[in-house]
Amino acid sequence: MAMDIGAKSGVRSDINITPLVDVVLVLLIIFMVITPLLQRGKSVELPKAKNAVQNKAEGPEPLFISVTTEGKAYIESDKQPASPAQLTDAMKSAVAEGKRVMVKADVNTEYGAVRPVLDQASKAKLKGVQLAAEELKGK
Amino acid sequence: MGMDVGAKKGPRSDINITPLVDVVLVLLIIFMVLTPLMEKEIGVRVPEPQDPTQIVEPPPPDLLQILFKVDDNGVFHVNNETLTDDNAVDRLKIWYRAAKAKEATQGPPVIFFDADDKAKYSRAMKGLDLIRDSSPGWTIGMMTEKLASAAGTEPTPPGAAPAPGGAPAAPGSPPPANPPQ
Repeated sequence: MAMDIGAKSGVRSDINITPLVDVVLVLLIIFMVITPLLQRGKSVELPKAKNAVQNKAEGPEPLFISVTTEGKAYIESDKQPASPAQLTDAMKSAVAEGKRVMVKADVNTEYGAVRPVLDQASKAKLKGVQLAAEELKGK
Repeated sequence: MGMDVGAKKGPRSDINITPLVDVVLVLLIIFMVLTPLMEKEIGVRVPEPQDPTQIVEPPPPDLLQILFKVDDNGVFHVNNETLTDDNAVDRLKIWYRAAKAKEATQGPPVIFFDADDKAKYSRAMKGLDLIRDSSPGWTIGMMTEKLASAAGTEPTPPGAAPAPGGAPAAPGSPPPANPPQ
């Protein structure tokens, strides 16, 4: 009369994907947390360039100056646009700390918005600056 | 005789996580692709502030100064020559060889970069990219002060040299339209 009914105690043909889901979720969360951290300064649409390089130089993290579409310059992630004097001060302290200066300018801005930043860099006795770009894939 | 065996037909107590896995995997792939695409850079030089008491030696008479300009329409010029997007790299290579030939007397090849204030930044970056394309050996000197309006035809950038000993208002020295080799 009695009979084993159901596959419960039999061999399950499904792959157990629970550990897979666990690992993938953890990876996803790691990437979601790291991605905004990697992005410094304001969020701008960077121009694309074939010859942009990833700087592998050791040393302190560079100072980020962002130039938005409206042509305003921001130091790091500041809420308020920086005045020329503030830019010079920030770059001078960057020079003192041996930091490089990375200029992230929006692709839609005009060159006239970037020129003052370079001028301030020159006044702050910087030797050069890095212009941020996105790598253009393919030749 | 026949009998339904197994829970196959009964209600499954497991949550169906297949769509969840699909979505999560797609998100994961998106983030993995986006992460390495971030910030690369192009290094440029800016002028060193000039010490007014410093004595600037007059430039040699055959000084070769190369000025790359982007006008307000986004058209590229080298000194007095207008470039098209197609021939820019080839022309810049020729300029590079001309500058390289003078390396012994004038130091490493320097190209001065200037763009009109109205020029799109994307065009300026395209120009910088083309310069790097023509040769990675260029030292790119950004001009931070606007050229005098009359300087539109003047190939020598006054006082904007990124290296010490930069020549202020050097006499115009346009090299031949086709520098040797």
